[in-house]
Amino acid sequence: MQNQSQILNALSELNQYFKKSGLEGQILYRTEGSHLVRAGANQISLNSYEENEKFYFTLQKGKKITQFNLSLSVDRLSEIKQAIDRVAQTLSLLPELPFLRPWHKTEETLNSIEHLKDFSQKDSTLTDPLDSKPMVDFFKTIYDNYKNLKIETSGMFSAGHYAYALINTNSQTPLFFSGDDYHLEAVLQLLDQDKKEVKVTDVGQTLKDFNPDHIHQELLEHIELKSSAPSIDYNGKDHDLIFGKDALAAIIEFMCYMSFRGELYQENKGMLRKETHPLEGQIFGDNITITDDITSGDSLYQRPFGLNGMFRPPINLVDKGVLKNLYYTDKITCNRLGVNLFSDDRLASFCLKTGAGPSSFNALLEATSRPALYINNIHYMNFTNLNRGDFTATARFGAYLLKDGKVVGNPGRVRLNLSLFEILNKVEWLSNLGVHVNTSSSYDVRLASSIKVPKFMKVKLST
Amino acid sequence: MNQRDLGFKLIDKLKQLGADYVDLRYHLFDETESITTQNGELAKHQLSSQTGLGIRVLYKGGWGFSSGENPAQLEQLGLMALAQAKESARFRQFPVTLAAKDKVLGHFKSSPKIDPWESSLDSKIKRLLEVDALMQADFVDLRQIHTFFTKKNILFLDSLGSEIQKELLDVALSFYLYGLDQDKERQRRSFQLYHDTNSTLGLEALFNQKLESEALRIKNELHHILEAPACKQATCDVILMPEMMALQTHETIGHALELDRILGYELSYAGGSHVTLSDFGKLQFGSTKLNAWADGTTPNSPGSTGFDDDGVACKKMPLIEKGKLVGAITSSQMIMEANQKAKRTIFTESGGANRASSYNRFPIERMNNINIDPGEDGTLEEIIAQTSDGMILETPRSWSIGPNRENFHFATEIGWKIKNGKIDHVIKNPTYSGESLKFWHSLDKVGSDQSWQLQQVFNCGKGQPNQFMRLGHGVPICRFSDVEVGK
Repeated sequence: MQNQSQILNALSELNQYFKKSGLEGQILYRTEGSHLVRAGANQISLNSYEENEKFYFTLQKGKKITQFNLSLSVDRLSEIKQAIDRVAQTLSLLPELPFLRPWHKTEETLNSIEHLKDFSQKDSTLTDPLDSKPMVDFFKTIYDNYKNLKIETSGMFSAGHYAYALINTNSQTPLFFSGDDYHLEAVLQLLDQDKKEVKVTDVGQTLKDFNPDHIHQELLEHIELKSSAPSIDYNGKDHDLIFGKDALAAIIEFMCYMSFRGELYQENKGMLRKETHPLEGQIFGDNITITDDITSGDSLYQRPFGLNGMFRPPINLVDKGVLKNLYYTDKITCNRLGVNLFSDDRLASFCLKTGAGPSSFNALLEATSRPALYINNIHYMNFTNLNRGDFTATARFGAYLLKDGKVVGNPGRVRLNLSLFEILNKVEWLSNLGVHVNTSSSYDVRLASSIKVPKFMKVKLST
Repeated sequence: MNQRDLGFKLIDKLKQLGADYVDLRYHLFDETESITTQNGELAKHQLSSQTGLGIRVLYKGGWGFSSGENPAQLEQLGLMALAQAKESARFRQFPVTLAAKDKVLGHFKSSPKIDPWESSLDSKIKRLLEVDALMQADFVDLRQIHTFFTKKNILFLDSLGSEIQKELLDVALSFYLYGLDQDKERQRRSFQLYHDTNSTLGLEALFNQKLESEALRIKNELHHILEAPACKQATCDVILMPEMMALQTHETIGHALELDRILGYELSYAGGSHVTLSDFGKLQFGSTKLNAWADGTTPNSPGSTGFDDDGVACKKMPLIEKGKLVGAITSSQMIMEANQKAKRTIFTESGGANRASSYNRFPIERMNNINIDPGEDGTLEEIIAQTSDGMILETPRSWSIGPNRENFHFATEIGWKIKNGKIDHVIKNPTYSGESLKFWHSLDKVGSDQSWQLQQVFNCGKGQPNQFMRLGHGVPICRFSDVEVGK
């Protein structure tokens, strides 16, 4: 992995090259070193290490603009400059975009963040390629622990380091951030119990946070729950719903993605639309508060500025059910819409605030007398009617029917057809314990992502 | 020494250090240009370029993989992959064995008439804006056109001495129109470019006159949607048009028949399959009208690449014959493991379907072109005339599939209600759902040759770390009976 000073020097040199070439624009650099061990069918199916360095250039000349991504090492500056020259030639062929505005100064971002403490935890073991033995051993131990149960072990253990840095031609000082993270999931399929599945997940900034004993304990709890109640067919009656942390995290994350992006909002393409959901309007119940606060422990990854160079202040997105703020991330789109850039939703660490509800599964059972469907995870969620917040998904890795303080059945295939507006206006309680859940995807360069949600959330749907 | 020679040198070294098999993929050239217009103006122009390499090592039945962009790190990456393979080998129930293959010296090249890299940017933008202008209307408040072109030059080397060069080209185009309906809900109507297997694959697709008629068509259809009633809950016949038929095939045949998924390797992420090894040769997957293939040779498709990333030539393999399950989407590794687990020979050869999205990803079973044969039930008009109570559905708007591909729920952009053999009216917000096997058993009409279209897909997601894959679906118009709609 390249070191910080090498990266910053390269950015400064390229910035000078831009100016010398008569160009305006931004240079963003991202890098990663990622390890991933994957298990399937009781064996290791993949053990990989990937290094990646990528530049994201925005080149502008007058009111003409283009974007260019280049995967090339930071120490190959002469080749990078040749690529810039080649792309710059296309600018003259493009039409003008008269709405373009000047670039935000990185010095303003630095002023905004200088008082902030650096909360990020660093793990030097992740900066260089690490020994994958503990990751392999994690899955091997699970298999050894449950061999007598006739199980199939699957999962994924990812750990790595990433950094991003940027500068633009309206600035002198590059910005730099680096971080570490790990996340894992372990899935067991119980082969002689109708192939029931259980899943446990974990996320953290450093491998010092990784506690395999805790994960093994959680797996055991789920296996006992799955094994103790009979399989039943779910009859789709009006039950209350209780979402576990992984299901809740998936729903809230997707909802936030489709709701709080200002560009979607302004173009009326999101779940929240300018034409129907004004700011300061009540959209959810008053027990719903959603934030993204880099100064608090509610954010696992406290990154002070975005990939667009904007400072990321603590944000209330929804406060007691009232829509308060949106993100505005993409400069070209925002310039076209005539709105100011604000934070960066790509680095959001959403937090759905806790309430006063139970914090353990046993306490939850004790508090549940009316029939309720408990959903541990959801699979393949998608919006069927975004205007109404209608979505569909299947419950996976554990749906339990609860009644009178007990687990009375394991429903098999459960398809959920619900409305987010209905659910988030009928929340009966939120757990008093908040939990971080991984939401990272690995489609582009590594960028850790997580959401903090109450461990459980109960929605009163029964009549 | 050039990259080829350096690659073979590294492979030899890793073999000397105990590797049983090694392969290496260099992306020597890998560029994408994308252009987006919005409401008659350029919204975004973007180029991306990446070059790099990925190394797979097999050691005593365990895989290791590493990748990077810096050719100077070649040896370091190779040694890392070997170390990882040694770790993997400690936890294997079935040591990885690859089906026998020959050394291959091969070359595959896409066949454009006009190479997008040799055409001016100005002409591309001008063309998009010409088409955009046709979609202008008072009831359309947002119109977007998005196009991208991808060109790759890939060199594959392996420890058998294989050397394969692939020069691949993709051309994609889509239009999106948005408007507000009478209930103040936002509606969308879109179009995805499809290619002609008898023609060529290149920028000429952008200048094809059919784009004009497609633009006018979706504008007209959006207008109807904005004034249409909502889809009501019912059970009726459903006719799927090509874009929707492609996704139906993709989700409930393609993904269900990926062999690695059947063997449980995707369980923690994308899910499993309701198909088991004992089903092959026995399971009646659908009606006798259903004939499906995994065809890596379909011309002018993103799913056709000449050779897969195991270095195996792409093939046309049967999946379903007269409704019976006979094959899967396979790779060199998985067929060996499947036959071993099943204790019989189900698969006699790799289907050449192991692919990675780029050099920085490990190849896994991916759909190439999952095609359905045309039938003998005539044109769309003829099938409509034989339908007393039904619905035509086109263009997916949302999709959700059960964890083992055993059930599904789709929403589409548009529907047309059929009554007594005629189209009666347009429907908005249509949805349909079902159990996969029951649905395929209800296939009762398959459109003839003229209804068959090759649809492109560029965003099929699978694997950890995640990979998007490019592929195709050649599908006819099909009718299914007694389907639940409107839920």
